[in-house]
Amino acid sequence: MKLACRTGFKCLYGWLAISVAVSLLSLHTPVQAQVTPPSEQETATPPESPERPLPPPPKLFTIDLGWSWWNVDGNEAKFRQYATPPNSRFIRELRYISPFWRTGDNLRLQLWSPTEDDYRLESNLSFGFGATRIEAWTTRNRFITPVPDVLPTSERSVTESFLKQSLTPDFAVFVRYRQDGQTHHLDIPRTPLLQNTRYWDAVAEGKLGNGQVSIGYTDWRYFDRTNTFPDTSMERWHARYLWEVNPALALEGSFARTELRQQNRPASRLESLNLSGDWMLSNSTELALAFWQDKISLPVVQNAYVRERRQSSALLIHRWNRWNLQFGVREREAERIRADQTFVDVPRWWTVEGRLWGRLSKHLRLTIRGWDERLNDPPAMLTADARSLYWDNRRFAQVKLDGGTVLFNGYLTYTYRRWANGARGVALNLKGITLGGTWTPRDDLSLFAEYSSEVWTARSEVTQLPTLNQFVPNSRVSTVGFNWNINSRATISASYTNFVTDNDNPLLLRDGNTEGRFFTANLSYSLPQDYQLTLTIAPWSYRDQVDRLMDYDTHLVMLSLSGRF
Amino acid sequence: MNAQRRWFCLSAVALGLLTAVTVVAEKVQQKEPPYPQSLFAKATPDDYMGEKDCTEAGCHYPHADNFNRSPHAPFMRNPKLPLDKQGCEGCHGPANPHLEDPKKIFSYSNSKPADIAAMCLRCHADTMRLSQWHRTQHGKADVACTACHQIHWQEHKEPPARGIVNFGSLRSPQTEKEPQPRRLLKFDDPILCSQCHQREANEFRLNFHHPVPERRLECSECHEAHPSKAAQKRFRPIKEMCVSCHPDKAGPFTFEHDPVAGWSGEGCTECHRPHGSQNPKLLNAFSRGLCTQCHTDKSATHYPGRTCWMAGCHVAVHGSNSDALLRRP
Repeated sequence: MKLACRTGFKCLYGWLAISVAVSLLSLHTPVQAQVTPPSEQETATPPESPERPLPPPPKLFTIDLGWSWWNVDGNEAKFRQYATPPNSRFIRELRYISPFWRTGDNLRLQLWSPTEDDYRLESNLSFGFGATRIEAWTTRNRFITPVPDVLPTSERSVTESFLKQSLTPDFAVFVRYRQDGQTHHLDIPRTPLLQNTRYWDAVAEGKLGNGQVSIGYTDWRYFDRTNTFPDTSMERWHARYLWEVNPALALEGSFARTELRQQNRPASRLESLNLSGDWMLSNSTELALAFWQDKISLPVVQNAYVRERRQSSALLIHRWNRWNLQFGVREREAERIRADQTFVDVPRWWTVEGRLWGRLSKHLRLTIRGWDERLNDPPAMLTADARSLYWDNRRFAQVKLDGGTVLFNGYLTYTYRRWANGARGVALNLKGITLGGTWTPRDDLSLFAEYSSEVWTARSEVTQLPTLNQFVPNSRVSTVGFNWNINSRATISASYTNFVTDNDNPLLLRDGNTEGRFFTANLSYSLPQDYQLTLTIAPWSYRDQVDRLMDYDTHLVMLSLSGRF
Repeated sequence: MNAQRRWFCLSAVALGLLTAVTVVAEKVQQKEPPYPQSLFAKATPDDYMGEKDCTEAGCHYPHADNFNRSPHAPFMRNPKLPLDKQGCEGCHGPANPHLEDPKKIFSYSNSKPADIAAMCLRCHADTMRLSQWHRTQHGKADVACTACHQIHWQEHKEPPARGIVNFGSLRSPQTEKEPQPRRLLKFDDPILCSQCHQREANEFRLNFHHPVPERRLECSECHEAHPSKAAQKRFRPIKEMCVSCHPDKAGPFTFEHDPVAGWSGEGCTECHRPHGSQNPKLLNAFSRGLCTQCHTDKSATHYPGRTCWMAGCHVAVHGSNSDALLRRP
């Protein structure tokens, strides 16, 4: 099945053609402007004042092009893991914004990196004072799995289009189509993924009576060209209504039904029911209740699975002076069955959550939040070791202090997380701290710094080496930088980021003990008539203490010129 | 099922009680809508001056200039709109009382987040209603619409005051440009989101991360800022949202890996850290440590020295259609 363009460029040309067509369509807009009533023409005229002349009209076209050199020494695949910068002449951006916005229409076309491995084309058109909106975009990303072996380049192409048509000012119909093609080459022993997904949905939603209604249909299809996974299709219907009984009370209910079919397999089904309510007890107190239930039929599955799951929650919010307090409880349960539909168990989780935040002073804000989840009815295990595999207690707490003045502002976040399984004597703890701030000593200079550290500890019933604690590495990330407007034309900004992973790494595997040092500096110079010249220098270095084949150094140099006209 | 009936009955009784109490309360309270909607409810057509008077008098000239550049401008100049939704007064309320008393106008910089939401949702009713806003995470945390969106248009060439100010330059200088906000956002995400969610944004600086700093992904592709809007929802094929981009993990499989599959547990986040991690594949723990958190009986003696999902062992950790021990897809 050929669902996606085989080459990104063909796809790009197709979209360019669509964009040109959209541009031609926008030529209708001056005609619309002519038929608008004279009174509206008057309103649309920009204000004139003898003392204050009108500013120049906005520039319609933007172009940004340049030249770049990676100068990579070492593992180029690791350097390109998340993005591939241009390595030669490049066009970074072409943008066009239509001048028709004053008459109720709007067009925007934007194309990023059309000659590069990663590109994106985006177009928006709206007319009829926003009654009709069309959006379309296509993007392609190429990347390499960063391993020492040579692997073919992987690729992902996504195309999406979206239409909104307002039927009344408060009610609209939405249609979306999306196609996602992925060719992913993975490290041995895994086989490549050659897969496509596409879906379209249609939703009608908006105000109806004293509330809001939403009805929609979705069709989702998955195709695996390697035949590793069965081709799958899903159809989903949903309906939702919110009833605002009065300004203090609102009730909402929704229902969704999903039917799933896989090649040569029985059909599966999921039905979801959601009920929720929100009650303003007073101007400062609010109560939110919610109930959610899924009924699941999965005749495909042969091991124990969940036939029904439910969640109920209540949350009380109270505000006073400059403070806000939330307290909530949540109960979740899942009824599990075997493939022959015989009952297994119903594990239940209770969660208590709270949040308190407010202002300690005019410039300082404090936030404390946390939750505690307990598994009350542990599931029965049918494995050789019958003890529960589920976490029976999870805790999370966070304290955040932030604020400041125009001169200095900062933030400090402390995070604590604990996951525990008492039956197996396992506890996994995380303590993290993030500290950062910006200092603006002068109008033309700002400096910033951020430090983040995570400390993980783990214990388990198994004390024989290697222990669980040796597989939970710590990490540190620090960043410093500045932005300086040297004069009205020149600006320089620079940042330095360093990350370190501390890992016992008892199996001596790659990607375990790493350090990255990334320095990036930008010097921008504004030329007359809205042109701008930018020089970027980025000496980066990456080190893997175990596998030196992963290391790289680069001294990236990039020069770009952007202009508006 | 007894438990189901019990929960359904409890919920129905609770909601019924709420309805009864509030219907009674409604009879007592006045019919007038609460502030700030009352600004419009009280107004007569004479209270509306029109946009021209706001700007020609010279008082609000800079605002008018910015507003002309805003995507709001064409929509709010639709002559078919009612008077109370046109021009400046559509958002700030009728202007005639403002002439008598300058304080008698709705100011977005001095208002409560809920009042700001009430004003915005007068027109954006297809996004959500006010009661839905109250239930969003941002609503509960008193984050106003204007914390993320701008009403007039202002090109932000200056970096934001907080958070990771030069996020884009971390790995991909080719994407570092002045933000080009869409949907009247103050900044594009992740710059915008990192203003408050500094810790989460900082996780993107770790060695392994989703390519958000490189602008291949945006925060809004996974997180729904307006969760009540079905038209903006990413389709979730039964399980987690993650499978909309990783569809080979969607299943259902003949042999599921529950709770990792998400039926009864946390799903993907049982093993993965979605923003970034110091471990490859965004894992919570390194190598076989990930599996031995739960499967302690396989800790040290079960094929020691190997990573569980590599070298031909449990390669189908997300679920298998052919092997109960997840050794083949």
